[in-house]
Amino acid sequence: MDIPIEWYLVLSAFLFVIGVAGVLTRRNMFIVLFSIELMMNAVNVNLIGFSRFHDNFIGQHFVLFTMTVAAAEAAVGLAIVTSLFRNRQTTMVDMFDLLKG
Amino acid sequence: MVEKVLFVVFAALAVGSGVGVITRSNIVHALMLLIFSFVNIAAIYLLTSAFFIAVVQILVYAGAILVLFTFVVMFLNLRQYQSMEQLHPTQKWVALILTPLVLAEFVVVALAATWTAVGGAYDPETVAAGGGNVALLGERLFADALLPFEMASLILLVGMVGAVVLAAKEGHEYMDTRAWSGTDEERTPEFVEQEV
Amino acid sequence: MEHEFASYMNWIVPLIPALPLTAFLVTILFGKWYIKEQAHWLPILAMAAAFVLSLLVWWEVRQADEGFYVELFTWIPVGDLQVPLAFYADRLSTAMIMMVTGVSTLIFIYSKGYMHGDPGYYRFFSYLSLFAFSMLVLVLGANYVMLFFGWEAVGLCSYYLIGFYYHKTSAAAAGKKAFITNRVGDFGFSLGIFLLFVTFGTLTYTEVFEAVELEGAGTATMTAIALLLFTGAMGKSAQFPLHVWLPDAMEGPTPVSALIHAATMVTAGVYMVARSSVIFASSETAMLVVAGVGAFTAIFAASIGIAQTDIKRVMAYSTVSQLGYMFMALGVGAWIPAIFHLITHAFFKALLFLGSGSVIHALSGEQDMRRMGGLRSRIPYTYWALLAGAIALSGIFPFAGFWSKDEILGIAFKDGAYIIWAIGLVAAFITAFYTFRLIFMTFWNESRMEPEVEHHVHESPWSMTVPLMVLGGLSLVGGFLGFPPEAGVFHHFLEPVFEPANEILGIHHEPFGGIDLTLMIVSVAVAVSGVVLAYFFYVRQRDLPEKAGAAAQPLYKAIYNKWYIDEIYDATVVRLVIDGSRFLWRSFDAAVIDGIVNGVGKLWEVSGAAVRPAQTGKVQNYAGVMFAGVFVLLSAVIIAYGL
Repeated sequence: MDIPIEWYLVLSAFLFVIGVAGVLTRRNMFIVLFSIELMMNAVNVNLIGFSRFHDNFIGQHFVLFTMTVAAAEAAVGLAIVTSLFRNRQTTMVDMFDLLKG
Repeated sequence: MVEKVLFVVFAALAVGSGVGVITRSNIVHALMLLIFSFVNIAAIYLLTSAFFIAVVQILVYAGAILVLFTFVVMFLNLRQYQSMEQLHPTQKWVALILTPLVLAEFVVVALAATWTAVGGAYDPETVAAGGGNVALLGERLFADALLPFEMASLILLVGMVGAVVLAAKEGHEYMDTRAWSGTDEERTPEFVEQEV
Repeated sequence: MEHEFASYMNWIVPLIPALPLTAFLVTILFGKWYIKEQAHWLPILAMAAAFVLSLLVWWEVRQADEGFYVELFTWIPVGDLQVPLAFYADRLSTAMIMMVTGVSTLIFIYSKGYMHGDPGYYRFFSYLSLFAFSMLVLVLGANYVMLFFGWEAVGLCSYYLIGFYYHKTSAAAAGKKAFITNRVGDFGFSLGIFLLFVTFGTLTYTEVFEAVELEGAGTATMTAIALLLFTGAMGKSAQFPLHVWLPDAMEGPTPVSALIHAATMVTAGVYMVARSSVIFASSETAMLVVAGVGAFTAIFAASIGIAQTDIKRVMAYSTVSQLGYMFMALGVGAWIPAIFHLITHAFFKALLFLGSGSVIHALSGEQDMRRMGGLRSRIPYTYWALLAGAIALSGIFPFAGFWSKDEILGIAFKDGAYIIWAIGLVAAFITAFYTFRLIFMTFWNESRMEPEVEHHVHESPWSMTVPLMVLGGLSLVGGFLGFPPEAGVFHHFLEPVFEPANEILGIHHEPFGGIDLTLMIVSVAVAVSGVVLAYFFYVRQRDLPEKAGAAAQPLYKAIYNKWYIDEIYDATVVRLVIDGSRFLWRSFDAAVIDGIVNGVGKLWEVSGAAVRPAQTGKVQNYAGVMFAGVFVLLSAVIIAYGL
């Protein structure tokens, strides 16, 4: 194997942390959703890297399922965003705090 | 050697555009950068000889899912929010401190751990000889993971239904509960019967 | 010699209590919506059938010395305590069930007329049936647990029926008073049963009595058992100082007073003591206490009866007094006369109650004798029936009361218990006086009724007068069951039951002699003089009672106020309980218990308020905390593995 597994892991770590930073800091709900997609891709990179490292298909299978879930999540998430926007006329996440104690 | 160089280039582009995603205030720009980042990740999949996944990454992720995002973003016309404060006031400091620390920890773990391959049967040469990545991946998928595969289809169905119900406009014909115009006193049995 | 009982005894004995139980279940379940005004038929028929079955049982039992025992199943199996659901029909319980079913049938029929049109008609008959069931279990049970079950069940029915007009505050209060007063006695009674079980290891009558006869236990133990059992009898049979509930129990409908508070339930204590005659006979102290309490109650209650103006209350105190008589008899070992008096008393006291019920019915609910009078010709059937009852109660030859009462006095005298004999004689005098005071005030002289009431006076319907006449006849001839004295049919019938107790006491029978005749003449003379005195006071010179009352002002007031017993209880026991409860409520419940409860609540309130700001409701804060958790966990992994 030409590319060491550590490289994949570091790339994955960077992408994941970028996603986390996006989720934690941005107020715009769309950016938050983008960041979540980014985090999922970070995981996928990991899986593909290990699939090649171990010379089997299990990682790739997992990636397929991750994508399925990502697709479903995107569809439902966007639907929620749409109805939230329709009701509250905003996409800023911190405006939604009805469960404040 | 060439592969390593290409990996570093694609990785740098993916990370760079990723950083762009979370720093843009214009959502459309952020979205484009996200697509670019995903294309770079697909390129890394190609370098790893996961050809089918690479194609799916571009078709499904960059193609379908992100196009859906684009549609919604365009529909909602969110330009007015660009002028607002984009960052969470207190949370940004938490993220600023925590993320570099966790990143450092990830890297430490990744580099310090000793990784041992189990040595599976499907190295790129065998795969190429046995009919190619797509054929063998499909074979193994339907042999080993048939039930999860079917369940994935169910998840998609549920997701679809959920999306339709959530996003449907209230007051739409099929969501309509019959409006009640009178007061309670006027609700005679005859009326109720009629209504039923 | 073992007697072979006919096999049908196996099912008719359990059937006797089962019949009224069925009537109760059907009436209570379907009475409100389906049976309604027809609710009397089933209970009356069930009672009549039970009476017929009782006669059958009597026919069988009279041929055998020992009782008939039938066990249905083991009811309470707990370790050594094996209590079967069993019935025991011996001569004593047979006499009781004949009396209970017979009087009940008559009173059920009477109730049809008396309760006519009452909104709780079906309820009344279902409770009466439940009462009859409980009473029959009480007398037919083959062990003390069955007795206790019936004991408590009749108490419950009594509570229901005293408070039958529950919308009346006084009726509800009287029901509670009866229940609580009985609790005191029942507490002692249950302790007695426990002690009995601890001592002999069984609660079945035959086994207990055999054990007492053969081995016995220490005198102290026997005395304790007997006195504890007698405490229960004092509560149920309204003996001083637990008599206070019975006069108040007159708040219930009159048939209830007749059935429960005169003829049957209140005599349960007498039955129980007679049933346990072997136990009581083993303790001289207990016998003395029974005789003493009975004698005191007899004269004490009779004295109160002189000054009461409510027709039913006079009767209630008379009942207490007569029950005292029975205990007095038991206390001197006159078992059979006690039971004899119980039976005759059931006849004439039920008659007196039903008769006064008929008077009250005729006067549209008036109970105060001061607003009666001159009813003799207006309601003749009632008058003659009541008169028969009054003569019987006064103990005038040849009515029922004479035979039983005279026998008690005779045995007391011959036993050497002259004090008790004297007390009994005085009580008999007072009894004759107040009984005829009642008759004269109610029926003689001119009318003192309200015009409105007088206008409506009417004789009661046949369903009420027929039972009166039947009971009147029984009061007249019932005494001849005990003729000749101490050797009548009744005595021969019951003799085997009390033989063991008599053996322990060393009582032997003397033939009827000249001394008995003398005593008879004395007691009749005493009774007649009481009647004559009443005639002088209330017919001839009607200013005499007031003069006498004024002359002995404090005494009269004490009698009129029932010797202030209720007031004494209020000032001591009731006051103590209420004050103690209030103290516990204010200083313990409100301060300590509530303080702890509120304190616990406050703790969570305060701590909740402290951590509440952590819940910002913003998703990103939660994600941030989660991410910090990831950081901590990763750090832990790195440190642990030394990476």
